[in-house]
Amino acid sequence: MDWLVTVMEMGVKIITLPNYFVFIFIGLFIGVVFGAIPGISGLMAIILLVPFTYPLDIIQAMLLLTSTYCGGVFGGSISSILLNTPGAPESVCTTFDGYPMTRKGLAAKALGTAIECSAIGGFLSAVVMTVACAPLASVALSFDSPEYFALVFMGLCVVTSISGKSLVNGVIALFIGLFLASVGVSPIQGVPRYDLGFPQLRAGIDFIIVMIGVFALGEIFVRFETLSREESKKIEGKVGTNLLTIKEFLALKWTILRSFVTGTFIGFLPGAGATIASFVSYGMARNLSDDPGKFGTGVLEGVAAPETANNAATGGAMIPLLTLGIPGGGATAVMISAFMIKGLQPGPLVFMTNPELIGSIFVGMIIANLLIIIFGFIAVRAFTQFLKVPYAILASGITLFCFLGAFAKRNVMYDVWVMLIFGIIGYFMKKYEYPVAPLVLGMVLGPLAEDKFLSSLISYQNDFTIFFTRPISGTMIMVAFCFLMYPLVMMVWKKRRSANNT
Amino acid sequence: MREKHPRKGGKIDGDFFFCLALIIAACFLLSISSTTIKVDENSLGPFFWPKVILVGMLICGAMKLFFHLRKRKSISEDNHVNVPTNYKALIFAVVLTFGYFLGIVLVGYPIASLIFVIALSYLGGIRSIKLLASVSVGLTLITSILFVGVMYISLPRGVWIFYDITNWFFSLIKF
Repeated sequence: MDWLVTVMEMGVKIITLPNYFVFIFIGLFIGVVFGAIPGISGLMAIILLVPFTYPLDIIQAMLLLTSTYCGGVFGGSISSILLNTPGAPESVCTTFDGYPMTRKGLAAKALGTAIECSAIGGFLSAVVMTVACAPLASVALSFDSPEYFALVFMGLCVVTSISGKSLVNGVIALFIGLFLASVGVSPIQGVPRYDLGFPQLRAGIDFIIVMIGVFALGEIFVRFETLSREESKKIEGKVGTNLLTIKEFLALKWTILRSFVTGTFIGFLPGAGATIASFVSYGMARNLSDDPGKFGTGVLEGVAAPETANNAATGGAMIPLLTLGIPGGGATAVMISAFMIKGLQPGPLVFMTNPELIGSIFVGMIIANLLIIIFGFIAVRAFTQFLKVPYAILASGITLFCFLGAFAKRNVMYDVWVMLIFGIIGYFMKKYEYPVAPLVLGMVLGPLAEDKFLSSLISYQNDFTIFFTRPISGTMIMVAFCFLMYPLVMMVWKKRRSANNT
Repeated sequence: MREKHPRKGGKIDGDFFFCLALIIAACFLLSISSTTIKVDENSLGPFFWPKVILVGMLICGAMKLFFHLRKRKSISEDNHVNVPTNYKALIFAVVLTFGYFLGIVLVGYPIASLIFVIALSYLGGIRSIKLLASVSVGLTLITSILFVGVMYISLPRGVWIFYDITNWFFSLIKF
């Protein structure tokens, strides 16, 4: 507890300095704008912001990225409510009741609910993150190589099994990511692999370059393919915000609390994240409601549940990143790169070596989530102006930033060409429904998985059973297999049920 | 608009070729998965991990192809639903992006960006000359100021006369 107080004091001291505090504002603004505009999510904002973190110190960089993350998750609700078009995948559920409220002339109330619930969910999960990180980090310190490998294996299996419609597509994407991560010099023996005679490939393939290509450039290509078929949408009526009354808030208190707990827990699971959190919370709110039939017609619970949960997932997702150095999703994977650029490896050791950084992240996320209220109320009207910008102009701007992001890493055009190739690969992946998250996590966690796998075998005389016989790693491997088997079991069960019905 | 085309034998789509390319790539990479550098005989070797991944990729790719062919057979009797796609805009967008990156090397970042923003926005349906001009100038100026003026990143300056033009432009915006 004393450690936590000291760390928080350090964090408060740093955050109150204007040259640090300003990055929370900038991050929130960019996150909300990017989150609000359909087709460019908060995740894309985080990816495109990475080159801007090069001249910053690690605390400024993390404040910028975490605030963008929080703002991006909230921002998606604006276009969901006003346009019936989710700005980000995590805001899909908000459209179910948010847009019907707009049609009823209750847009201001829906936006007010989204702002309040996002802030509450995000704030509470940031508090949970603050309290839970230190004990988990101390547990993580006792992990040996087999446990780390099992943990990474579990994370990869979870993200693969739940990230797409097809398990095979998810596994293929994961294998592509893992293979790309193995290009370069092998971690234990230092032997060059798959350089194909290109000296540049010996340094490996940078996952940030791949992410910029697959997420940002690939998305632009996909959108251009369908651009002519898209209809421009107009915001109906005057836009404003209207707070929940005390009576309304009290009526929603259990929905908000339940969604916060669900969101934080699901956010903590590797690969699950804000999108699944919002769907699960919406489903729970509907199933536990006295009148489930009213959901979808424009009720406050239908906005409160997903908005609380998706923002609560942000704090949950930061826990495995900070305590174990393992990202649970795309946004936290990008944050790992910010650590690496500064020569830091996120994980339990950072709690001892950089307590001021940990404190700043804790305090920064708490403040960022509180600032969502101010930002939301003041700026919803301004943000709606960004929704009117034609996609072609946004795409031009994003391509410029894609180039700059890829080029600025090492000042070489080679990275830009690699990014273009992955942009085309990303287009095909999106078109044929290969989930991108397993590819990215495969690239981020591949080197760690290989290193821990081989060092475990070296330490335990090539005994493969070590991963199954140690209690923690054995349990994690079991859980991983359960997650991998889950889609197959469900498929067989559904087939049998439909066969029985016919 | 969705059109229905009755087809015989289903459709071999891009996904089929994607899987085929994956299998060929995995086979090729497996064939070069060895090293002449001597490594410790007791350890698994530097190619063990990627080989496991490549074998996994091969199996999954083969499974996907198998499912694809089976599905193809099953839909051969049904009416195939075809979703029209604007490939022209897509190909133009890819070619423009390729040309932009090539142009950056030849004419430098500012000039290439000015032209690219106008071209891509036009392709995306923007026809207002004022808007095209203001957006391209605005975006090029903002990104140049941010990256060259504030972050001191040396962006490509092009060759021949373009090098001097870009140099002059960057000297104006450097703080």
